[in-house]
Amino acid sequence: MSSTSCPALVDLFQQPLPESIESHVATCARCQALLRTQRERLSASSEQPETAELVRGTDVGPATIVLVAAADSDEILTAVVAKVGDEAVTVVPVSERVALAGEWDLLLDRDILGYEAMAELWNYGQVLPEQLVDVVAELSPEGWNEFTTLLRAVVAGGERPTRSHVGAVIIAGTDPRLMFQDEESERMRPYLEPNLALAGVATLGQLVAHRREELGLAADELEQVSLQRGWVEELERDALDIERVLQPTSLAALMKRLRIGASERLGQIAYTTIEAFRGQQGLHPGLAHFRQRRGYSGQPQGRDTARYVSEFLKELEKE
Amino acid sequence: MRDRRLHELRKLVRRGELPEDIVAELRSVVRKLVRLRLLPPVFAPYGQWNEEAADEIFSSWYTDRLLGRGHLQLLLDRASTAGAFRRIAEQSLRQHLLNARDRSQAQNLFHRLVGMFESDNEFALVRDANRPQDRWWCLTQAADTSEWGGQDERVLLSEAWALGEFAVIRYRADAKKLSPVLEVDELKRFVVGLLERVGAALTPRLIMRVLEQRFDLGEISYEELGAGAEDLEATSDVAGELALAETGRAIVAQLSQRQLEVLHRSDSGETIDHMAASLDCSVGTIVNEQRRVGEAITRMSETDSEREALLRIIRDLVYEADEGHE
Repeated sequence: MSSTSCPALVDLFQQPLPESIESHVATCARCQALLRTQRERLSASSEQPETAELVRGTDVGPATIVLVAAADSDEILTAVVAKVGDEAVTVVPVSERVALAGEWDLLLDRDILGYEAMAELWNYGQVLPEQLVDVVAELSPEGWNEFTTLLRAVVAGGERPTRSHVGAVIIAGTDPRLMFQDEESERMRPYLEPNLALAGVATLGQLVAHRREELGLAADELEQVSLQRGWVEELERDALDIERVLQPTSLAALMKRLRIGASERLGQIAYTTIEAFRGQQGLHPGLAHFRQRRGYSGQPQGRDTARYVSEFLKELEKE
Repeated sequence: MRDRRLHELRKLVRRGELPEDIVAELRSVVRKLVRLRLLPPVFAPYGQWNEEAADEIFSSWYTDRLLGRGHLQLLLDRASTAGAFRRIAEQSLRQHLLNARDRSQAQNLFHRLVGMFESDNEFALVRDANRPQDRWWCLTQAADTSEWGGQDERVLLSEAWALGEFAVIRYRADAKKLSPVLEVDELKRFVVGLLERVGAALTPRLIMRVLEQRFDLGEISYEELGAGAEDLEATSDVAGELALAETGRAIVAQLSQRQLEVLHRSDSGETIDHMAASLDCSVGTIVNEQRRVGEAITRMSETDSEREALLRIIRDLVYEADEGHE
């Protein structure tokens, strides 16, 4: 089964089928069934997908409502920003299914987003700053106050404050809204994955070992990104001269195989790993220069590593 | 529409503009779905799909949901590509048609509720009132209970949700205003369960408020109903084979790839644990997907035999594709 979503029906029945849809259909019983039974085919202009242009949210801050992208999804998540950290942004997803609101869903008036919605405080999580596509609205000071009070209660496992703008309490395991909450947790998952993949990881070796195990990939599958063989095991021990063995394009291809997107944090991890290895070899320019190139203060040293990491990230950003 | 234009439209609509190309795109989604016969026949305003029917459902979708509830902005916020926009628009249209159906058929509920209280010995009148919606009723077996005195209706709603799942609406091909939101047995189970859980007498007005919210029916103006309500025991015809086949295909279009995969694997006798491992999701998700498939089919079936027939059609469609693939 393919992991991508099925295309819109109006796109599924266009002629000729774009390559991206054709490859999906090849693995999708649903779309095959629909196509086979369809006698009336409509011709529609074939559109080449364009790369979505991410707008970096420069005004992201607590109380803003943002749009969050995920690499594995063509759908965007609307979310309230709860906290902006150095490496991750804590967000609370928003849903329009207000009829299913529970006691930890804060109801948002229509004038905030243009439609009635609710902030699912129980479903909060962290995303990378690079996933933020746009800032679309902001909670009022009163709304933000209520939001933070409720979120604190969720995080601390405390009691819900009375007089909140929330849904009816869930009091039994038979409540069908629990099923909806399961679905919402799952909907949130692809947006959290980029941050989770990097959580607790200090080096590229740890990152590759962890993701390889998680995705069930064999070492030789990953080694196809380069002409050389036998380097994954060394990489996972952080004993590989990465710059010598892997071109930036190869390292980017490796990350794509591991479903890891470009981010500042990944750049820092890559830089630290390469510098640590160089240090072991007697060359130790330090982290300072990379930080300066990426907007941090520090002494300009180790230009080659910084350039390598920049090229690697640029390559990874490409579709 | 291209992806870049989608991003522009998101901002334009948020500023209150309504560019013509977005309206044209939405209209084209409806027309194509109608021409492709990918909506269940029961949704056709006059029983058949044609351009007039397409225009009519576009008009109600656009006016009531996309503009009326602000969901045009929601679609634009959620889609990152033009293809995703069309897919989400299709889902929105389908949901609109289902909700509109729910609400049009909800008008019978009040009449049925009052009728049930007055005719069924399991219920006893606690306090009379001039208007039927203001009379207090309780369970006969607990005739000494007091009237519910709570201020927060969310308490009642919590109790209603705690009653679990109900089989909501069974559409039939000729359904007009006669199909119940809840079948007779289910309505009674709901009311008895609610009275038991609350442990107090309730009025039809309170129960209707809870029904409206629990089943997302919108506000029901029960004042206008009563004596004029149509006979609920109207007969129905089993939908024709062609209509069933179209309905089956429309259900396949509505279901996700994973839901059909779960259906297929369930039929093959695969365990839920194994399915969860194979499809990289939780056991709860598999159970949810099984329920969703069941709900989608049940909603379009009037009788058990129709349900079986639809399930057979869907299996044939999907397994044939699977065999072709293998």
